[in-house]
Amino acid sequence: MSNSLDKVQAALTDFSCQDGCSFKVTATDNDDISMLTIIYEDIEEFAILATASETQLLFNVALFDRSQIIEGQESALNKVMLGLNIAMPLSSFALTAGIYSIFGAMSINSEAKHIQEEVLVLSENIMDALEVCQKFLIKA
Amino acid sequence: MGFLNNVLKTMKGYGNEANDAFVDSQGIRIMEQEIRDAEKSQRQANESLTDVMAEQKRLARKVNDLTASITEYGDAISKLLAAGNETLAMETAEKLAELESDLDGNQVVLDSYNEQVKELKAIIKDSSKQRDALKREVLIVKSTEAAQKASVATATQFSGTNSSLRSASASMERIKAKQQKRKDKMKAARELAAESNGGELKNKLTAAGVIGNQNSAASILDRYRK
Repeated sequence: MSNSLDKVQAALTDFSCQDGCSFKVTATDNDDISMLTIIYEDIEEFAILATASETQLLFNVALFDRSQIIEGQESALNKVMLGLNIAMPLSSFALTAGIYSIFGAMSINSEAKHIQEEVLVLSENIMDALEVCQKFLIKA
Repeated sequence: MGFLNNVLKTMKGYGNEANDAFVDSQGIRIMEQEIRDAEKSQRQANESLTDVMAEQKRLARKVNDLTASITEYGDAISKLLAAGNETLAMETAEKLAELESDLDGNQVVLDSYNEQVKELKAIIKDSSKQRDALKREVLIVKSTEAAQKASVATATQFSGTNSSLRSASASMERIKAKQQKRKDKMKAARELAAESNGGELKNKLTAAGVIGNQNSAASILDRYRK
């Protein structure tokens, strides 16, 4: 595990927000990938995956893939996401290898309290972001 | 070309043309090799920067030395002229002329080295930014894949059986239902607390399923058996 991810894990273990919420953090470390899976409260279905490059910490939450978008609605959804990027606190929307996500990026030199804030705000954004996107998605 | 444009070109190159989401997971493997190659050429670029900077330093020292000598000879000429020693002043002036043209030549070369160092540093910085950008792309794709593989054991949003995600709509509904259930339990607890006290409250909470019946002797024994 990289030092940066160790730092993230240390910052989130035993951390609880003002309302008492907390995170469950699981580490994965093998030849292929080093990452943390961070689960917030009730929303275990949308895990935050933390990884570290040389310069940045990345916190990414996969929301849905393109196959779930109602036919003909992709452009409209993309516009809504771009339009809301500034409004969404600390996190942004992304599209990587066909999977839509919200993510936060920060310097690997960030302090524990900033990491906690970043992850907490990202967690709070998950359901709000999904709510906005839901009308463009095929119903279950 | 700016580094973001280069990143865009690379990502598109490793994606499926029909899929405008840029890199796909197959492309990632090839891209990783490219990042390793880029790291190698960056090490080489850093080495040549070191060589150029060594030469730059050598020239800067030479220019400093020449400038110092020129000042020295200039002072000497003033003193010789003041003392009326025209012949030695002339000889010194000839030496000074040599030094001045030597300085001009070296200064031009030093300027070009300064420029080259600036350019090399900019190139290295740009390629480093590009490499880190592609690495982040790789990290996102690979961590998503890893979570997908691990999903058999966990309740994440991945289906585990193919490359697609579980329906976000369905997951949202499940989460909302779970949150609602929790809220209802808390509400029931508050309501029951308002109308009861002491042991009566505990019984009512247990009956309402808000708290479990965990304090029986049997359940304590079970806890220690684990």
